[in-house]
Amino acid sequence: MKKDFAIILALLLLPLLLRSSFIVSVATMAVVYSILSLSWFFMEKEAGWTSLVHSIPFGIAAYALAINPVLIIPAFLLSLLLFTALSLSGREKFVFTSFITAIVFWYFSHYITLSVNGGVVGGEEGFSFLSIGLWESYLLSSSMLLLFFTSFALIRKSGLGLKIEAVRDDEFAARSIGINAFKIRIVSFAISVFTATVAGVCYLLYFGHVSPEIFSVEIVLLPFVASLIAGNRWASPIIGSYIIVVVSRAFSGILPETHLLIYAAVLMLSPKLKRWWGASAY
Amino acid sequence: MISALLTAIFLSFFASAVILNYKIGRLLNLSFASIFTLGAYIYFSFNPTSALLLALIFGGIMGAIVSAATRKLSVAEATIISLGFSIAIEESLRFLYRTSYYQVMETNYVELFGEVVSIHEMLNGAMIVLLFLAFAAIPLSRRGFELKFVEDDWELAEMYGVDTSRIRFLTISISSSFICLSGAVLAPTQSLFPSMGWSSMVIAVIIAAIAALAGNAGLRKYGLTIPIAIAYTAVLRWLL
Repeated sequence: MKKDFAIILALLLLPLLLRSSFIVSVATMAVVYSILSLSWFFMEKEAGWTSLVHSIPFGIAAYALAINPVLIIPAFLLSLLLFTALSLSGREKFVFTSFITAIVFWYFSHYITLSVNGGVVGGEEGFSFLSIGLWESYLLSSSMLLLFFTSFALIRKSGLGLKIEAVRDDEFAARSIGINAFKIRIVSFAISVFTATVAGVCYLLYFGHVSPEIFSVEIVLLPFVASLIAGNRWASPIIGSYIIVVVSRAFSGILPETHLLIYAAVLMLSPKLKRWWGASAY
Repeated sequence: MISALLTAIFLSFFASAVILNYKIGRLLNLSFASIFTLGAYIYFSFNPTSALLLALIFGGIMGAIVSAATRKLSVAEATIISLGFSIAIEESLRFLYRTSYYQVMETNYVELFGEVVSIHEMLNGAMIVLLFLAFAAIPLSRRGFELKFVEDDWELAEMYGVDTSRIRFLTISISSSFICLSGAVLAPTQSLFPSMGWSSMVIAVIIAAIAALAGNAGLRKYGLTIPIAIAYTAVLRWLL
């Protein structure tokens, strides 16, 4: 864990040392997506639920902040309710029920409109919000990333972490020793959804604009792919997010679909990659 | 009304293919979205007759690859792999047809009971009705019993000596083949873009999920996709 922390710290400090606005802009994007991927990784590795619906808390939070900051709390609660409802289908079906829900939500997000001063805003265009600036965004999202990374490490060592792992490994066995499995599931979802919500807030504060693209398949799959390409450690989703952002930026002029082709390759190889990373961990 | 009915027949067919792949192939075959699109682009690129034949062949090949790649995996893993294939096909099409995002083709129309209907929609509807009839006849044969056995209890069927791998392979390949053909036949009725198959895919999955509530018994769940699809198109017409 200390090694992972050192890697992340080095990744976060590097743009500050280079002091290039371009590098910081790429790094900010990578950090925001890293928070999202980390929230996904917590739910997958710690709680044992493979989700393809993290784009919803991420996107809803950004939309809520852009429309009215007061809506952030209902947005968080709505996302949590959605995760809980979807989890009723069971762990195995959760993968595709969550994916279909995310896609349906993406379609409906195009119809989120608001009447302002007699005119209509939103829809395909999305909503605008005042950006806090590049360096401020970078510092804010980096601090959040470090905070969540440290918090997750502490949770894992705590009694709560052990309970979450017990429910993940065997729900019936956990219930037999007096753990309220459903409550623990909700708590683990709440932690993950809250992290994704903060990622959505950081996204809007940096870009200053949110559109239905935040719910797109690319965002839906990003945490899954990012966590698979860089191993099975706690730093993996963060390193993976950096790789995806840097590669897509590097090839954006030549082949804009590069990152999606990476997605496709990773998805097709996902069972093999999972087993390979799992075996190399021992 | 006729056009809505033809759309419902198509959606019902798509949903039935999704259910069949889930029950026999043990995967939610998300590659259907792009295989359907692939059929449409094949029709756009070749002359109609060879396009229909090529769509049938390419759809079958894609299905065979997906089937081979998802063998002996869990439902979740197989579903994720099929999604990978879907994205790969979609991005390849985006790369190959970069010059123009939307492609539009011309179609011919006929007047039927006072309503103007596309010939391609009618052709697709007729093809699917024939497919349904053929599918309904399968349970009467020995292969039909095998299919039903695998659908009801895959492990037990394997223990009794049924070649489940072959049935799975054929189911995924043939259904992919017809989805691709359907994409080719319907191509002139829609604007073509690489992610065009997803809207049909999502609706088909929802219809399939509702129809699957009817249980595992025989053809009932497939038959149920028709009224659900009709209800969906009726609601859509009412909303629009």
